[in-house]
Order: sequence, then C-alpha cells, then structure tokens
Amino acid sequence: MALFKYILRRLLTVFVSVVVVIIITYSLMYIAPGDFFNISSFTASAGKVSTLTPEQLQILIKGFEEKYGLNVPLWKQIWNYLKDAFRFKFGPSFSNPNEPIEAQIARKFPVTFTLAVLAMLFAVLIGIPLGILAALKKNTWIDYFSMFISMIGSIIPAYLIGLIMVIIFSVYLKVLPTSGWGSLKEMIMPVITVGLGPMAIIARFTRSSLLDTLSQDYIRTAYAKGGTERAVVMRHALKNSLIPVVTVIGPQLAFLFTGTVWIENLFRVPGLGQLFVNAAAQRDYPLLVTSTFILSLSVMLMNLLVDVIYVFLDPRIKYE
Amino acid sequence: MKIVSEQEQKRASYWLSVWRRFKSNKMAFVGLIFIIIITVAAIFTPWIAPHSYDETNYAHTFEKPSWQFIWGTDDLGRDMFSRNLYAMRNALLIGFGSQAIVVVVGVIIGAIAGFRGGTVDSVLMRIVDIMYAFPTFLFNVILVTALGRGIPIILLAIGITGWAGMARLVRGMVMSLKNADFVEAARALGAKEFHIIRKYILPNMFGPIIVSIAFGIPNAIWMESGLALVGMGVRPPMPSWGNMISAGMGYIMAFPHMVIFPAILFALTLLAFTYVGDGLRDAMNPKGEA
Repeated sequence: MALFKYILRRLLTVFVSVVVVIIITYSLMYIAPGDFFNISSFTASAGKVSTLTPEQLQILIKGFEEKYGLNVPLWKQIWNYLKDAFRFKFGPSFSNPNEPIEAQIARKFPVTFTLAVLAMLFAVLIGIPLGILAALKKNTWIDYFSMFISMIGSIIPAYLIGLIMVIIFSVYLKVLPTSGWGSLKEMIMPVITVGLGPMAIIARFTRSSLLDTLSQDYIRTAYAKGGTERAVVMRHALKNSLIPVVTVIGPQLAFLFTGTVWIENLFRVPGLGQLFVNAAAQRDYPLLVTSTFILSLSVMLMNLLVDVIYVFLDPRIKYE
Repeated sequence: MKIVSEQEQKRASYWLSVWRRFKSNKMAFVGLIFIIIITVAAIFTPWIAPHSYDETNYAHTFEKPSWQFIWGTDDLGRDMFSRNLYAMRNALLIGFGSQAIVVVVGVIIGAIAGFRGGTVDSVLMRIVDIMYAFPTFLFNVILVTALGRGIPIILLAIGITGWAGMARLVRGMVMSLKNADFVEAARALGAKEFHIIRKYILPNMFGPIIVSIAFGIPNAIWMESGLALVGMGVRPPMPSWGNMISAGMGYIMAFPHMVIFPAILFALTLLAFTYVGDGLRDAMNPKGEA
C-alpha cells in the first residue's frame, strides 16, 4: 500500500514536471528568433515572394496562424497545447504539414526505444561482469585493462568512437553497413556506440561497490567460517554490492535517451533523436516542443521505473 | 601580537593535510599540472597563437603537420594549432564560466532552502526536482535555439541547466551543519547568525563544492561538444573542440589530423579534470582505498 502511494506521488511529480517542461519549452520557442510563433518575421520572409500583394499576404498569415493555433495570446496557446498534449494530439508540424506530429512520433518512438533498451542491455551485460572481474583481480593487469577500457568509454565522445568503428568495420573490413536501421547487422554499431558510455560508468561503479562490500565485516566472517572465495563472492558479496548499481542505471537510462540523439544522427537511425535535432535545425517549433515533451516524459518514466525496482530490491529503503 | 585561534590553526593543518594527500596521488597531481598549463596557455592564447583562428589561407588547405603549420591546416587553410589553442580557451571559458553560474545559483537556492526550511524549502526543492528531471541536453538545445549560439549564451545555458545538483548538495550540507554541535555551541555563546554562517558553515561546505566544480567543468566542456555535434555549439568560425571534431569527421579518412589533435586535447582535458576531482574527493575524506 505504501508502495502504491509512493508510485502515485511520484507519478504526480512527473505530471507536474512535464507540464513545466512544456511551458518552459513553449515560452522559449515563442521568444526564439525566426519566430513563427509571433509571426512578424514570417511576414518578412514571406515578403520576399514579391508577387503577393499585402492583402494576400495578410490572408496567408491568417491562414497559417489559424492552422497552428497562433492567433491567440501565449498563455492560451500553451493551455491549448497542454490540453491536446495529454490526449496525444499535437497537430501538424511546420516542416511536414500533412502528417500530424503524433503519427511522426508513433513512427519514430519504437526505434529510439529499441535502441535505448538494447544499449542498456549491452551496458549492463558487459559493464557489470567487467566491474566484478576488475574488483576480484584488483591491481592486476585485468583490473587495469578493464578500467582502462571503461576510462576510454567515458572520456572519448561516443560519436567519435562510433566514427572510428565505422572506419574499421565498414570501410576497411566491410562487415557492417555504415548506416541504417532494421536488420541486426545495422543495429550492432549504434547499440554499442550508445551503450559504451553507460557501460563504462556501470563497470567503474560495480568495481568500487564490490570492493566496498568485500571489505565489510560480514564478508570476513564468511571467510572465517571457511567459505571458499567463489562461495563468499557469489552468495554474500555480489547481491549486496549490485543493489547500489541500480541507482546509477537510472540516470544512465536518462543519458541513453539523449545520447541516442547524436548516434541517430551519425548512423542515420530514424528515431526520435533525429526528429528532435531536425526540428531544432529547421526551427520547426511545434515539432521541437513535442519531441522534447515525449523525450522528457520517457526519461522521467524510466527514472521512476528504476526507483521502483530499487525499492523492491532493497527492503531497507523507505518510500520517501 | 596576532593571536591565532586554535580553530584557525586546525583549519590550516586540515588543508595542509588535504594538500599532502592530494600530492601523493600521482594521477591527480599530473592532472592539476596539466590544468594549470592549459589555463595559462588559454589566458595568453592571443599572444601565443601563431595565427588567428579565422585566418584563411587558400594556398595551404588540408596541409598535414609541417614546420610551418605544426598541427597542419584545415579545409580553409586555417592553422590547426592556433585553432586548437582558441578552442581550448573557449572550452575553459565555458567550463569555468558555467560552473561560476552553477555555484552562485546553486549555493543561494540551496542555502535558502536549508536555512529557512518549511514551506520555502519544499517549494524550492520542488523547483529543483523539476530542473533535475528536465533532460539537460534537451534543455540546452532549446535554450541555445531560443537565445543564440554565442559563447556567453552557451555557458549561461549550461549553467542554468546545471545548478540543481549543486542546490541539493548545499541544502543537504546546510541542514546537517546548522544543527551540528559546534554550531549549537557557537549559538549558545551568543554568536550572530551571520557570523555563524561565515565562520562555521561556509568553511565546512568548501570542500564538497570544490569537488563538485571539478566534475562540473569537464561535464560542461563535454556538453558543448554534444551541442556542436547537432549544430548547436559555438558558432563558427569561432573554434571549439566540438565543432572542430564534428567538422573534421567529414574528412577523417583523408586528413585524420583534423580530428586527432582536437580529440586528443579534448580527451586529455576531460581526463585531467576527472582525475583532479577524484583526487580532491579522496584527499578530503580519507576513508582508505575503495
């Protein structure tokens, strides 16, 4: 019951946060230069089409304002947007007026979601064993090597690693395609590239968490009672040391969702990140607001999910 | 005669021992020296750089490193060494500048929340929660889209989107410090609130804030490179490592020097700050090795 209340309260926070995110984003877009939202510079740019008379231009602008609901004050625009947003109706975008934004999102979201989840799986499945290995073989070359790998993963920008991988695997070895999304072969490089950063952090955190646990009294007791190294580590140390690792996975998931933005651009993955970047580059404000909304909502829900899992795993945590 | 209170002596010896522990950490010490060198180089860049960052020379495009252009030239014949120096200057400007904003906003908000408590605290902390929830990169892209791509705006954007963590840190420290025994004792002796904040609370918050800054700087530099990759970083021709790397990526097969030099400098700088941050943290709360 307490857990239920906790989840409910967190959902409420997510709701409020998302509303604030939309208000901030929408207002910033309203004051942005090249502002379609308050139309004056649209007039300037449309004025270049010299065949139009001023009256015709007025009609054109009026039609445009009505189509995008820009003929009302800012607060009303935001209110209308919010009302529609929670019914997942976002209207048309500037760059693609014939396809409603929700249809574009529906097409792109699964791609980003798959990419993020696969990358997270990669990060966890490689990062945790790497961290454990490093901790158990502390101060040996295995430790140094795996920490070196994870250092590389966290200081060299992911897109650069992606590019180097393209050069090695696509240009020289010709085993993987340079870009695209769909087949397994096309997924390998984007997933690894997105997952490397979180993998590095998870590995480092696992290592220090396990080392921390291994220095606890109860581990010494377990050894004193005659436990073999394998038994002590597997039965006692691992479980307790992995619980805190869940806490770094949360923020990393958030990072993953935004990290896909760069990688989607590099590998031409048709996902939400690409939609977001194109919207920013083309100053397609309705699309930019909406993709920000969807990405933020996903990140917040992911964080909530991880926190709930954490509460399940560690009974000592209070719902606070 | 100057009377040095015992407390001040203790404080001096604390920082001395922190420095001693920090020095014994080789990576952190090397990192610090590296940071000092690049900071000095960044300050004097206009005098050190052999060329200007936007001086094009079409007779010498895509040149590999040579005696004339020690790190080669780019697609417009601009001297890569000079551009890297300017990029380093901009990176440090963005790193230090954004952290200055983070510290000012974070400390003020965190301290008010911590001291006042009650409704003020919960309102401020809800704001912090929301700031924390807004994905930083998206927020930065939106701010830069709305406000422009000048260096002051970029560092402002990174600062505005980054203070929530600092506010939480400061609030937590204030909450625990304001009820600490030694503060209680000072209050019992009749010390004024301002005196308590200045003499007892601020000095104790110094360490964790410094550590947080040390990690914040590489994050800010990294953030700019992320913005540059989606065409939202420092506006060319002003160089930044982000826009140099992403421009060079198009020529990486034929002219790898256009990517390698900025990428190595970028990675070394990030690494140096990270090691210094680690070193400071370990030096300030020695708990043995973990």
